[in-house]
Order: sequence, then structure tokens, then C-alpha cells
Amino acid sequence: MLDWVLSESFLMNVIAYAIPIIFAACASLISNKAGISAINIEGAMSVAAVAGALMSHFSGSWIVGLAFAMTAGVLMMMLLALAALWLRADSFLSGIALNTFASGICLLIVKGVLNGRTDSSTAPSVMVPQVRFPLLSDVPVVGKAIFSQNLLFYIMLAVLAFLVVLLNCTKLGVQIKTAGYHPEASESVGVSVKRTRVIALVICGVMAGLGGAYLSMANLGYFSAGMVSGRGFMGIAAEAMGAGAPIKAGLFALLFGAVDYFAVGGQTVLSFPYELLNTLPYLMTLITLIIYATAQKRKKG
Amino acid sequence: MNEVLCMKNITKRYENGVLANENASFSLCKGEIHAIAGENGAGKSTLMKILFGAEQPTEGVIELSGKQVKITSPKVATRLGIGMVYQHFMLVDELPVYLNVFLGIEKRRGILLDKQAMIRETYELCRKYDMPVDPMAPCGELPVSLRQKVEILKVLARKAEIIILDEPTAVLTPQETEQLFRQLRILRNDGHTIVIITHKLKEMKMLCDRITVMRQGRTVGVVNAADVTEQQLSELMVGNAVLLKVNKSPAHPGKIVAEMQKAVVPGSGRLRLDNVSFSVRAGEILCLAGVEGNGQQQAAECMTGQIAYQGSVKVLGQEVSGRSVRTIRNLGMAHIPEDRMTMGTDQQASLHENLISVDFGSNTRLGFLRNKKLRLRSEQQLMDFGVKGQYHTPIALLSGGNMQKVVVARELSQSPKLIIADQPTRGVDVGAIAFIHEKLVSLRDKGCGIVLVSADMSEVLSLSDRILVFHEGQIVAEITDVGNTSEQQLGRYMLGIDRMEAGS
Ligand SMILES: Nc1ncnc2c1ncn2[C@@H]1O[C@H](COP(=O)(O)OP(=O)(O)O)[C@@H](O)[C@H]1O
Ligand SMILES: [Mg+2]
Repeated sequence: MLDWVLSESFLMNVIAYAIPIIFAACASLISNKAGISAINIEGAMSVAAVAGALMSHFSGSWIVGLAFAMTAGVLMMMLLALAALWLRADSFLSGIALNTFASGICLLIVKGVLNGRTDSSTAPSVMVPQVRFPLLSDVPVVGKAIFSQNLLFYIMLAVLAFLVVLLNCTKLGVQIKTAGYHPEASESVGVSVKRTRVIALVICGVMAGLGGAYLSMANLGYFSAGMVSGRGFMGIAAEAMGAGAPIKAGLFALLFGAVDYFAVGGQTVLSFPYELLNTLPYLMTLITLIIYATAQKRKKG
Repeated sequence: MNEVLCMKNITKRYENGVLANENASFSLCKGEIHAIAGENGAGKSTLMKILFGAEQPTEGVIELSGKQVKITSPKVATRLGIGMVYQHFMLVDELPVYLNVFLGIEKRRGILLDKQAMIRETYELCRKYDMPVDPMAPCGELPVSLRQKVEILKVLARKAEIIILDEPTAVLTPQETEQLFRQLRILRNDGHTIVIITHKLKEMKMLCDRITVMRQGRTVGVVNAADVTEQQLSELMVGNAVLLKVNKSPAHPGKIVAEMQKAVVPGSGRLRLDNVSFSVRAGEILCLAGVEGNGQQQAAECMTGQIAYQGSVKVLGQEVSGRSVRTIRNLGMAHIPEDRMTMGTDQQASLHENLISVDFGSNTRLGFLRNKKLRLRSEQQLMDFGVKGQYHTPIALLSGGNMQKVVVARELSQSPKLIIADQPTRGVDVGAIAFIHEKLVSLRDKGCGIVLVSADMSEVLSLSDRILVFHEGQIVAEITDVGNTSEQQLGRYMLGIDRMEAGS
């Protein structure tokens, strides 16, 4: 088993499993900072995955696919904005409703376009290309995992950096944090909280879209119903454990990716009931959230 | 005397029908400090919110330097050189001071924030107006008095000529108030015009040039501060003479109702409560006095079961530690918390719901509430305590003083044996203060033990039977002869200049 964990492919796979979770964590982070919880990230990723897979297939271009995936993510978030900001519904409940809506609409689209199929394997996506840095990718163990990866991995790194800069060094970052921490203060200096939250949700949608695109255009070559399978929620949990810090959230998401992969990859290597292995990611969420909550409490008390 | 601003015949009716201002007028001269005085609910905040553009008047005009202006939003007010420090601060705790100061007017270089420039300017403002604030500190870590300075800096960074402060001294200790006044005078000498809302008669006389008095939404008079006595002012405010002295007979302390022995509460750095022992008896008002943050609050919170401690704290014969707040309350403890907005009331609920929240008494049948009986009880309580509002009014619509009366009504109607009153009259108008004091004294006379936490010197000296002065987590003085103690002497103990030897 140790051989397996220390192998080059293990790290490679962990990162592959973590990428969509990290995108989801980033999406969750930006919306939470603005004071609105977007648990429909899960659903938005799913819709983005469909949009990316089908549009890349029909246009023959991964760029078009990616653009449609991001647009789909943004549209899903705008539905949340409509419900929570204009109609003043509870954002949590709206999010749950939108997740249900998303799984329905995804099936509807795939079935509609591909004559009743629940996946798009007959219409394979045009994949987002791999990037390979010569020399660096030959470094043992980490070389391949970091310097020979899908383009979306590097986009993800850029997104993390973008978040750090956005939140700490820009006016919009200050506005987003103010909208989240003390909305009245924002209004009192004439900055519309609604406007700020809509902008944050647009960014959130783009990130969820990238996460969805990764699933159907890089990880797997097609869309299949239920392929997000909790990765959006794991991202939300990772963000909560990172307590709003982008890098920390990213690292927790990486941890989730590792556990997630462990659960799948371990089935062939370990003699362990796979039903139990499959519960690992959820068990992990539970345990870390408990640790996180106790730590928070101690800090306050 | 040249007039810079004039509000004429302002009438304001809120959406819910409350007539907050009625034909009110107000004028400001360049370079003066002008007080707006009046009971809670008199419409002072409303009038100033209209001036700041946060509310729109139903009728009336505003003239700035002789020209009529429409102030449709705080943004417009800011552009016209008007700034306001709200009663409830508008600060983002998680952001550093300098970003709060420049909130909404952030300086930029390209698309990035120009942090250095903002830090530098904040620093310069601090120096110019003698405000000891660290521009880099996160706002949430600052004590109330410094948070208020940040609000003032915020207004100054927007280059306001006219600065409005809504009850700035309500949250300050006497020393901090003096410091604030010093800074306000610097601001005035620098050419700013200042409006300050306050209830405290002494302060108006001490600081202000002119005073506008409001009563029930109208402006009932404008006077020169130098020409009136405190008595005349308070008569103008409430319409009849209010006793500023508390009428009470000597206390007859009975048996011990609460007792603290060698209590220790840890804090970051030094102990919040350092080996404190004292007891409270039935029939006395024991005051825990001190400058904010010296342990008196923690001592009270130990007794109410809000914080953990080492040592022993017994309330009505029971050790507090390990018991729920409910259990302690059932023993006969009532608690008037310091913060009526977050702790004392449920801001989402009605007066009635707030009143019945701690106790349905015997007013249930088969687990259901007997609403009619409860409603009658609430209405009686509102009447007894003179709350201006009906049982179904949302509590959030009440003024601070009336809100506090609801808390007091709820807590004191339980026929308690022990009352912990944490700053019961902070930010409350003269009429309500006298009323709350009277209630506390009458409960004391019925044999209730009362623990009062207060930073208001005149309240401490006029209401208490015995005073324990806290400094840096310890009791530095026990004053039993309250009548013959001066504010100066009490102040010296509170600041830690003097210290009574143990046992004396
Ligand atoms: N936003 C509001 N909506 C409805 N009524 C309000 C609102 N704000 C204040 N009031 C009412 O207007 C009256 C005047 O309040 P306010 O101006 O805050 O008085 P003050 O500042 O003198 O204590 C009070 O009766 C209060 O309940
Ligand atoms: Mg007010």
C-alpha cells in the first residue's frame, strides 16, 4: 500500500481529483465573502459540465466549450441572485431548489440532444489540452504532477492567485468583504450591497463553471448524469474549514481530493469493503468540520 | 454669527405611521459645537438622518449657505460636506482601520489599492487631531472608544465641514468622554462645525456653544449653553422637572444572596479577573465600578453564568459553574444585560414576544400558551413601566430608552431575589433613567439584592449603597460611605492612581 501512496501516479491522481473540488471551494469562498451562501455550486457545476461537453463536441473547439461552461455556471448563479437578492428568498433553500433543478435540466438536455441517453459518451467532448513543461516535468515524484498537467490545473492556480489579489488588494475586494461582514456599512458609504453580491456571484459562477468543465472536458471525455457527485459540496466544506482563506481552503480541498481518490483507487489495492471506502469522503467532512468547529469555539471562548 | 445651514419646518412620517418630526427647525452657525438634546424618541436621530440624507423628509426644506438643497442620499450629503457618525457604528471589524477610514473612497493606483497612501493619510489625520489609533490594526480588536475615533476619521477623510455625532458619549467612560471633547474642540478650532446629540446635561454645558432642545418631534427651543442651568435644560427636555437625585433611604442589608470567592477569569495577556472575592446582601445596591475593561463586567458575567471561571461563585446558595442560565434564573436571578440590542431583546420579535420570552408562568394549558392571559399580562407590564408602544409593536421600532424599559419590565416583573444590572441606563434618556433608578430602589427596599455595573460616575454615586472599584481585574477599593465620596476620589480609584489597603 505504501508503494501505491508514494508512487508518481498517486499524486497525479490526487491532484486530478482535487481540481474540481478546489474550483468549487473558490466559488464558495467568493460568494461567502460577499455574504451569500451559494450551495447550488454543486448544481451549477453539473449544468456547466453538460454545456461544456456538448458545446465543445458540436463546435469542435474546447475554447467554445469552456466559454459555454462558464456561462452556464454564471446563469445558474444569476438564478440564485434572482431568488435570493430580488425575490428575497432564503439563499440556502433557493440553493437546494436550484440543485434539484440542475440535475433535472441536465438530464433533460442530454436526453433531448442525444435521443434519450443519460450520458454523452456517444458525443465525446473536445478535451482541454494537456500542458507539459520540458525538463521540469522530469523531476521525480512531483515533476509530472505539477509540470505536466491539464491546462485547467494551471488555470486553477491562476484562479487562486486571482482570489488572493482580488480580496486583499482591490477595491472590489474591499466591497465584497464589506458586503459580507457588515452590509449596512456598505450602504452607509453609498456602495450597493446588491450590486456587489451580483458581481461576486458572477465570479462564483465562472469558477463553478470551470470546475464543471474539468469534469466533462478533462477528467472524463463526456458528460454523465450525477458525475459531480458531491464535489461541489466538498468544496463548500473545504472552504468552511479554510475559514475564508483562499490558500487554506485550497489545501483542504486537496485533502478532500486525496480522500476521494483514496476511496476509489484504494478499492483495487486494499482488501477492504468498498462500501466503507466510499463513505470516507463524507466521514472526512464530518470529522474535519467537528475539529474546525471546536477550534473556532476555543478561539472565541 | 453666520449661518451655514438651516432646516425649516421639517416633518417626517415613517412608513409605519410614526410621526418622528413635526415642523422641526434647526440652524447651525459656522464653527460652533451645537447640541441636540431631548428624551429618547424625541426625534433627534431622525432629524439628523434627514440632514445626512439617510431619510427623506415628508415636508420641509434644507438650506446650505443660503441655497436650497435636496439631500437625497448620504452620498449627496458627503459631497455637500456633511458627515455623520451613527449611534451604531458602521465599521467592518475584519478590515484594518485605514480601509475602514477610506471605505467607499478607496485610493487606487491602477486597479490595485494604494495601501501606502491610505495608511499615510490615516496616520496624518490621527496626528493632526490627536487620536491614538493604529492605522493597521483590525477594527474589531479596538475598544469602543477607539472604534468611535475611526468613525470620526472616516468622516474627516471625506473632508466633511459639518460633522454630526449621534450620542457619541453613550458608550464612553468619563475619561474617554473628556478625551473626545478635547478632540472635538480641536476640530472646531480647525473650522469644522459640529452637531452632537446627547442626553447628558453636564456635557452640553461643558462642551457646547448652543443647544437645540427637542420634545415629541418638535424643536422646543434654542439656547446658549452659557445662559441656562441644568435644571432649566431638563425641564425643557421633558416638559416638567425631573429629579436628578435618587430618593432613597439607608439600606438594611440582610443575608448574603450572592458570593464570589477567589474568582479568576483568564484573558489574553493578563487575568481579566484576578482573585476577586466579595459578597452581595439582600436589600443593598452593590456597585461594581470601573473603567471599561477592568474586570467588573466579567465579575457580573460570572454570576449570570455567561463565562467560565476558576474559584467559587455562588448565587442564591448555588455554585454557578456547571448550571444552566435557566437554572440560575429559576433560583430568582434577573439580569439586565449591557447590550439591549443583541443580548437583551430579540430584535425580530414584538414587545409581547420579548416580554414573555423568559417566563410563561402558569399561563400554559396542556403545553399550549394561554395567549389571552399572557397578552393581558404584557399590556399591564407595558403600562406599569411606561413603555411607549403596543404589545404587537415590533421592538426594533422603539427608541433605545423604550427598548431598555421593555428589558427592565421583563426582568423586574419576575419578583427576583437578585438583580444583575449591567449598565442599565447607558444611552437612556433622563426620564427613563429616573424611572429605572426608582424601580431598582423599590426592589431593594423589598429585600432584593442588586449588583449594578456602571461607568457613569453620577449614577454610581447616587444609586449605590456600597461600591467596589475594579482596576486591572482586582478590587482596589471598597467604599461604604458613598454619600461622602466625591467624583474626583472615585475617579482616582477607577484610574488606579489611589488604592485602598485591604481590610481598611
Ligand atoms: N426606521 C423607522 N421606522 C419607523 N419608526 C421609526 C424609525 N426610526 C425611528 N422611528 C420612531 O421615530 C421616533 C423618533 O425616533 P428617533 O429619531 O430615533 O428618536 P431619538 O433619536 O430622539 O431617540 C421614535 O418613536 C421611533 O420609534
Ligand atoms: Mg437616537
